[in-house]
Amino acid sequence: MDEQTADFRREFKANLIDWLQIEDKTPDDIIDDEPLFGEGLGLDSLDAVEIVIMLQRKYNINQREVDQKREVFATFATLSDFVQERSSRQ
Amino acid sequence: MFIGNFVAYSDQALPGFELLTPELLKRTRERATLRWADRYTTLIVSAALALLGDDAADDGLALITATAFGTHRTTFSTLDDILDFPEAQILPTRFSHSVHNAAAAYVGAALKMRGPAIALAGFEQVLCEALELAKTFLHGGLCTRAMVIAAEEKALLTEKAHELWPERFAADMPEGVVGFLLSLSPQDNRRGRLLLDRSARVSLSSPFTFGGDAKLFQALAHADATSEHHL
Amino acid sequence: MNVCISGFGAVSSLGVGLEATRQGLYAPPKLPTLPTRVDTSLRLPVFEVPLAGESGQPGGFTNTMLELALTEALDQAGLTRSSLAGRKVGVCIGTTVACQLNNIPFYDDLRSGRAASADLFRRYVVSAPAEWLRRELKLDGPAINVSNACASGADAIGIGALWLEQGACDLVIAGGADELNKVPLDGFHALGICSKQPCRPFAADRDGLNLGEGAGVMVLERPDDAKRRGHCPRHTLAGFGKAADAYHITQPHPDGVGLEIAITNAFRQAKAKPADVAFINAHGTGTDVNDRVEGQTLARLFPPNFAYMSTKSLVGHILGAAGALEAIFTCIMLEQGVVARNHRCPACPPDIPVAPLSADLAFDGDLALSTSLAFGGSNTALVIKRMS
Repeated sequence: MDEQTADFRREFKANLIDWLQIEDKTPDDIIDDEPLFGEGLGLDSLDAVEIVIMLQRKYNINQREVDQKREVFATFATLSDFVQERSSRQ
Repeated sequence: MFIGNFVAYSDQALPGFELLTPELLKRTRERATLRWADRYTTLIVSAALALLGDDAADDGLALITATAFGTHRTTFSTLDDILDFPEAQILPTRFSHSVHNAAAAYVGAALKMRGPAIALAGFEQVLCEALELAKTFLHGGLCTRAMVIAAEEKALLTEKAHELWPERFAADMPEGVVGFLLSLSPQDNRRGRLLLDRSARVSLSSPFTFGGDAKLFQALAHADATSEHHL
Repeated sequence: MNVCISGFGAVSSLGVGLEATRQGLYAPPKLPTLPTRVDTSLRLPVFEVPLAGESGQPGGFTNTMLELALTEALDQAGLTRSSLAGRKVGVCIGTTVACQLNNIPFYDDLRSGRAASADLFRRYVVSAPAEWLRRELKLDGPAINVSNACASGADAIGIGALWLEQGACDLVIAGGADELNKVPLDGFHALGICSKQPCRPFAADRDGLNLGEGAGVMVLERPDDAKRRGHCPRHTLAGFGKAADAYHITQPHPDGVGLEIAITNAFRQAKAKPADVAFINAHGTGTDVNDRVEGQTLARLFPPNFAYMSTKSLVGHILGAAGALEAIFTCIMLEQGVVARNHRCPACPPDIPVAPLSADLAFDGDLALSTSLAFGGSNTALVIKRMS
């Protein structure tokens, strides 16, 4: 993993924890390839819609783009990489 | 009805009330996994946990919540979103918490309660109506015990209420929560009988004052199974 | 349970009054359109009531619709307003919007430190529907505003029936009212559960709900009291079941646990069983999760090929009024002996075992079930009987 990706992922973890109010976790607790929903980080449907709003407000990624790429929600890494790639385009 | 338990918390030193502290709310949030819950919900869940104590909930336990101002802080946060952000970007969980029965849903999930759950709202004797409804549910066989919890949260609207309607709302209204655990069964009696008489009631009471009768709360706080409380 | 439904009145996108409602239930459906009374940039179709009025005013449109429904209900019941004054009459009204102060200009003034309208605030305080009606009609009896999201209207009717059974009052005005409002529109959209198309309850391609607005009011009384004054009600409320999922604040329990308990309890009160009902007026919002959970639960509890539909395909989701209006629609369908079809669901989807009705269905029975599944997992079941 290059340094840019590592930095982005670290910051994205912090943003996710903050936005989703996961008070009992630190960025180090989020494992890149763990599932986001169900097991792994254990997020639920409310978190899913909150993440969509976070992507809009903080990263300027609109809902339509996210709707077309639901698979990016599989793991933290897939989501982070998607956001990083979209952000670098802007 | 018999009172199995009674709890009352407030941010002011009201007779019969324990102090509502940030620590209490924090403990509630930890015990009940209330990651997304707003403050109004946390007040209600705090009372529910205190009422049940070490008792288990069962499918015969009903929950009735009551409030006048309700989830006004969360509702106004949603309006902040609408005013400050594009309409398509308002926070969905905030909105979900602006419905009054969200708190009941949290209590149900935290305490595994599948009995009837109803949220009431109103400005005229809403806690009294909730207690009457508990009696109705108990006599109607919808439940074997009923939790009645009334909560009022302090935020912008309650702080401005006196300015907007001085004759109706006092300045510096308290915030807090009161809770009753009720049953028709004498073996559940810990704090005495609650006798409700609609015709004797003063109108326009607030959840914390029962029309100004602070003595009732003091009595409830020190009651035992032989006590009798009239409302 | 045996409580008379002595009269009812309805306001919805089908129109004002029972005549328009009856026709609308069986006519080709009016499709939802973009809102005209709510200031929004979201392009979400809604089912508006065909009446002029302003959205977001406390004591405004919601109470206007409630008044219209009440007037009709009293008229159907052979009662006048003046005859109720001073009597032990209970009022139980379900609503969501009316119990929140979500007037945006008011709040903008308040948060900015400008002088916010004291008049609007006072109107909000005095306009909670049940308390307002008790005051307006000078009633002596209980008054409850049920703010239980999508089950509110059905809960209000059930509570009213219990009051009568226990002698808490001698007559009940029960129902629900909710107007279209920017806050739930934006909120449900943010939750990703609004459809940009006309909603398709139980359909394979369902993708969300359409909000609606309206008011439904029933007059309830004990059979002996109705008989004494020479009134012959056409329906009774035979069962009221209520149970929670204990699962999540927005999602129903995947196995419909609370719904099953509510339905079971309602049938026990009605001394009936699932095979006895002619049809079910389901909650059926058009969302992926609700329709799957409800469809699977109903299929588990009822005989194969049971008849069910959702009137939300005709009037949208009217939140606090939904359960009340759906109980009224159920009464109408029992009277007509025909269940209206479930619109826009041409094929049975893979995740729902039994398809809803795709054509109107004539039937012989006199019993029906109406279900409501509220946000947060609060489930209500009403069993309604047509009197012969």
